[in-house]
Amino acid sequence: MKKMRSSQIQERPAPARAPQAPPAPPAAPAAGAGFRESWVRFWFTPADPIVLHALRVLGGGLLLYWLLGYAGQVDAFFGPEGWFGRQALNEAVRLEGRTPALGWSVTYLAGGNSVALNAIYWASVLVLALFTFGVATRVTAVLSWVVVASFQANPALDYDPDALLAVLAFYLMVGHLLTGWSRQDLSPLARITGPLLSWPLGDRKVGQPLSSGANVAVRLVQVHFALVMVTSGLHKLNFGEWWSGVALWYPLHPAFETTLAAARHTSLGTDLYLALLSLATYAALAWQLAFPAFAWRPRARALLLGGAAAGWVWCGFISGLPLFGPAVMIFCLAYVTPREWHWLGGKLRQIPGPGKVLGKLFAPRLEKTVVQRS
Amino acid sequence: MSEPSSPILRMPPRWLMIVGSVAILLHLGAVAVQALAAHSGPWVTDFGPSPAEPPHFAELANRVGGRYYLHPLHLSYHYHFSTNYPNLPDVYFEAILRDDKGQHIKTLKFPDDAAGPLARHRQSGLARGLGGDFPMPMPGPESLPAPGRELRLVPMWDRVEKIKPNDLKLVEVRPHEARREWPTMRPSDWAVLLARSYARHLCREYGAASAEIIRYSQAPISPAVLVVLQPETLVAPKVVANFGVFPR
Repeated sequence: MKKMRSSQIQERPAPARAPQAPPAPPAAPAAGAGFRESWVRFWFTPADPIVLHALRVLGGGLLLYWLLGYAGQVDAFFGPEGWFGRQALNEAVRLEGRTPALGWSVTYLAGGNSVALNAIYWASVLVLALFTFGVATRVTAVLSWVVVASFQANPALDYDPDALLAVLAFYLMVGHLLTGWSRQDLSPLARITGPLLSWPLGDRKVGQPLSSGANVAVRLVQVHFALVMVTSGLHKLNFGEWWSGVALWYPLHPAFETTLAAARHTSLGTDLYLALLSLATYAALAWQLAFPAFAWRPRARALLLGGAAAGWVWCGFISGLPLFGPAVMIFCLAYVTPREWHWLGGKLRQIPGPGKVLGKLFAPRLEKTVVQRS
Repeated sequence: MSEPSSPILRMPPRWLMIVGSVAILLHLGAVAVQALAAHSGPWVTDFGPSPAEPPHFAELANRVGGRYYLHPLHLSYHYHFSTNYPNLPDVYFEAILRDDKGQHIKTLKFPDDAAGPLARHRQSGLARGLGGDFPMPMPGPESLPAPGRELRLVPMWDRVEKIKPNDLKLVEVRPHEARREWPTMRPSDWAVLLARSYARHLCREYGAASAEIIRYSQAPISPAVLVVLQPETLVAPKVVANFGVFPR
């Protein structure tokens, strides 16, 4: 926890006092006090909201891609006469042991009206676009979460990556609800709705206010995702194929596309192929199970982002999961510190053309900030 | 030369940090308990592979936290991703549409080979929903229904012909009538519900009077084919399972 201490923070020095007797040597801090300080520092230290904004832009883009995938098929997937319609819902409620999984959704407001349903859909796309570009973020963050939750309510469309999108949308909402209430440069109305234009279209000036709310939201993303990775890794240990190191064989050899001759053909030789396969399987497993040990370490950034990138390539091109890889990458970017984001901005500014434009979005931060405790 | 003044930022007030800490602990605790409260396995038991129950403390806590907090927030997933299962069978299904005279209109395949990646991804999910077969328990003595009620029928996969073990049709039987000559599988009630729902949707979409839903599944080839002497024995055949004809 101590290594996560921001180097940008320093305590305000105590005011000068009249000479007194030399103070007694400080007592060793109680273990509880040390944990308490670490907890407060981890969760509540005001932080540069650049990380929250970057997650909003990247996550919003992914959410837009996810929702636009339903374009032209909205009635089929969400209508009362669709793949899982009203009658199926009624039957599902009567199934033993199956709780009514649909819950709430704004798509129900359309009733059986296809025009209304499509209007809700395109309004949802607009909301996600506005949120991605930072328009009235306090309002659009809540609406974005409502959109994501609503379009995941259909149990026939229960896909693994959707769980990660729901988590991301929720914490982006929390972050934008908690951020900016103490900003003196905003009008009272703007503090309620959020600034009209947030980063990257606005709020790019030097010295953007730090925010405890932004830090809380980013930390929640970090801890929740670490929990997801470990849980998923432990679940993999239920299966002998992961223990024997052959789990990655199966996505490489889809059942309907692989003949026996193709499966037996290895240009590397059987021993080398199986050795590499098992190494890769154990690397994937180890990355997940050890995730909390390296995710917060700046020196392990290459491991964190490299693993996420490798997973993205695997999920996108081998496993046929177009959303899983980008979602994991975005969650991994939540561990990148504000200082690293601004370093990236500095590097981008040195690249002519689009790089310079992107780099200007990351306005340099003040190096030192004084934090006053209440 | 004096240093430039730095902005002063305040930590949140103590009471707010206490409230926030409690909220954070409760929230993340609910998420952790939700993950713990998932079934594990399948594990090998004396009765064959079987999932294990979650720890009771997690199950009890999740009855409150999961149902009344995480579920309304749409955060009630246990993160036992289906993609963690290494050798799930590949599945696709066909819908044979017919008019009211029984004439063939169209045969549709899902996932559609011509669809884009996201569309194929969604259609694959629809197809996977038709899977999840599990073995029927050994039939016991004949059950008698309560007075005034009928015995509930259960769906079961039966062979179209005795000599073709991978060509199946869905029948509904009384539990004690399940065949004893060979191991018998049955689809989940959820899969049958989905098949009926898909059929209704496609009938409405294409103006058909009925739709026959046929599921094709095949287990992936085992990596043991690289080392065994008779690899042909490790190649699973394609299983054709006919859910039957559903009217519009």
